[in-house]
Amino acid sequence: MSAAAKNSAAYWRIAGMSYLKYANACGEVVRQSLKEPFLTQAKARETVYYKMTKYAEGKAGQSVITEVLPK
Amino acid sequence: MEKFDVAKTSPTMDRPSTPTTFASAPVEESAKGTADKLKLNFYLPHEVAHDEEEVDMVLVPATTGDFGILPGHVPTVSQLRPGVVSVHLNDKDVKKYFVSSGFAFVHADSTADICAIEAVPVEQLDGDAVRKGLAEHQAKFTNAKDDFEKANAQIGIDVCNAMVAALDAK
Repeated sequence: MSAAAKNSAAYWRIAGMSYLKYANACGEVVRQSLKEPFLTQAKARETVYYKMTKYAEGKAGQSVITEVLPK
Repeated sequence: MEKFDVAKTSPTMDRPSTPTTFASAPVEESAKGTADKLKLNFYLPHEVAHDEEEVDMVLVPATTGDFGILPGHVPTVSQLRPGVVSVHLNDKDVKKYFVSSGFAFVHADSTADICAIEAVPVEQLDGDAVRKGLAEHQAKFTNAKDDFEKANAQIGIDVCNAMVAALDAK
């Protein structure tokens, strides 16, 4: 980043954060401050999981959830 | 072209193509002027809050200051800061959303797009949770070891402060 850009940049940018990281951090704070039942709904959206399906002889096997984030 | 029709050697001969044959129709300015309603698209990753809905006005909190979008607004792109987006559906109904961050786009044809990671109606925010969060983030800020942690805590403080302001203004 050029010196001029650094001077005008936001604090999170100077700390080495990308815009996506910043936006997601903001979103997380908002999600934590919701009333019920919206809080539980928002928490459910936060979870990301990986599903794996093994193909053998051109056919899909059973799909298994390998990882759930955040743990 | 009339002369061509008279002088053509065979009656089935086509008229020659000219550049205008291939040019697209010229863009004409609409005689109606600006529309009297603004078309709003308000999109979240998990939900569509408004889709091509006709509204009177939208007030958005940009990083460079709050601004209102009315029909016929000049085209702009601006980054949003945590704050309240008020959607004026008509003279009486106003919907207020708290947005975490995101972008607002205004197009030349009186269309506005708002994209955000999180946007919740202001009444869904829990005042006690907000104040608790603010205290937590302030504690994290004083105990932060490096710039990154400090920035993370600062984000929390900024967002919580914006939420407190939104709840107080209600």
